[in-house]
Amino acid sequence: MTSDSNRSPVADLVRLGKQLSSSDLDSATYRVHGVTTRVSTNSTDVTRAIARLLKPFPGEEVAQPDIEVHLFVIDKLTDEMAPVPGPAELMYDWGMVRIFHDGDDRYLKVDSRARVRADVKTRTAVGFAESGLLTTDWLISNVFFYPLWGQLLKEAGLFPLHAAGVARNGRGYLFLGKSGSGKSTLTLNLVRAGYGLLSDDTVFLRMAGDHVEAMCFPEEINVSEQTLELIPELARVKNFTVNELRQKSSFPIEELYPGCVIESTVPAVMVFPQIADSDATAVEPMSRTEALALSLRYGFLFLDGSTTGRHFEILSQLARQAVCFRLLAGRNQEELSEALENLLNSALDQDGEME
Amino acid sequence: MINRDDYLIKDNEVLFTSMGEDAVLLHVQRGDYYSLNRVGARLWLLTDGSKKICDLATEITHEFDITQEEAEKDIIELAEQLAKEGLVKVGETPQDDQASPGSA
Repeated sequence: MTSDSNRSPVADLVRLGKQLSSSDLDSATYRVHGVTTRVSTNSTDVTRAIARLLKPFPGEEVAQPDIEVHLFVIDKLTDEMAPVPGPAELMYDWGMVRIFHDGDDRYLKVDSRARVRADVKTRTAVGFAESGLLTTDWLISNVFFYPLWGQLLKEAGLFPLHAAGVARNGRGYLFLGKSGSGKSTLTLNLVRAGYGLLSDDTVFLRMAGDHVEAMCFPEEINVSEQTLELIPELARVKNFTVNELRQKSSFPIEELYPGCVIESTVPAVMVFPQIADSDATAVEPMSRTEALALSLRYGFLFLDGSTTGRHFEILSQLARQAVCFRLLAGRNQEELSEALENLLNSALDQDGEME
Repeated sequence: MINRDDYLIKDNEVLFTSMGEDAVLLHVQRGDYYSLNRVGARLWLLTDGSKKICDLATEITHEFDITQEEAEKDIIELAEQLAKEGLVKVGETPQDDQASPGSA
């Protein structure tokens, strides 16, 4: 860091956090698709939760990581801890979780119990959260850590997309949809059928020459009670974590399907799944324009003026290079994987003939 | 009221991307997006702030099977919609060297 950044408001917040910490900070470095992140914290809970989230991405200590994140767990959040300034504009609103931007600064606010401030220029974030808020690893990793870390990853050229991703025979498939649209169930069915896995929830996109590459982010797979009933071998999973907040259970996918995770793929197909009110599964072609419009919703395209243009270009290229479909997933899960593969291959062949 | 001697000036906050023959516009400040058909997409690319609507119409007639009168009418209709959405401004004087932000 430069001497200027040492005097920055973010550096002042790091000093404040260290003063409030009774012990030395734990520090761990991760390397996510070439981007190094060092996470420092005064909490063993935070260390454990981030290590669990980023387990597939171990890294070696480096003098200057690409991204630096400092997370402090404190008793009571005070006004001096990364307050959101008045002029800051709301970028994203998940209800209890909000993200703001103000020039080069990004702010995360979780009710009145946690705040994080990130400087996109120095790619440094510092956060404070009340211990009573962080009751699960998921809250620590996905609410306290991930949102602004994802913003800093964009600055480093990795763009998160809310999508499941699988691949087979060199062809990548992305499933884009909101929570509950069937992404995880589809993913599980395709992994069972021998597909490689990128993620059941989030992949990272980056430009590779003239095309877009999708990179893995294999978090633990989230499954609903209904999915647990539909896929019999899930009964063999020993390490389920129940997330009452999301009413889902999660488990490490490689426990059930060792070696299924792949590093990256070039997406050739984009699928927008919906749960159908029927037994049968159907696939309908979708125009690239509609696919782009929908992917803007799932691409966390924050309007921050810093990365919006590059992000729009990546999502545009993705829609240009992929064949796009709407999938109406039927209730008959036993046949879903086979039906999906047959329909997608058939549709791809038709698209090739048309071209 | 827009007329054939007016100039179209694109808003600098609008990103354009081509989707085959069609195109998508994204207003960066608002997050709203719009699709353009192939004539609209071509018009957007031709619009640089220096051409009157009637001149744009002439260029469109060279590329599409449409008369000058029809092209001017269609462009004025589209310009009214784009102006209503804040994607273009309409002026009586040219604006040269308009940047074309974020053409994807």
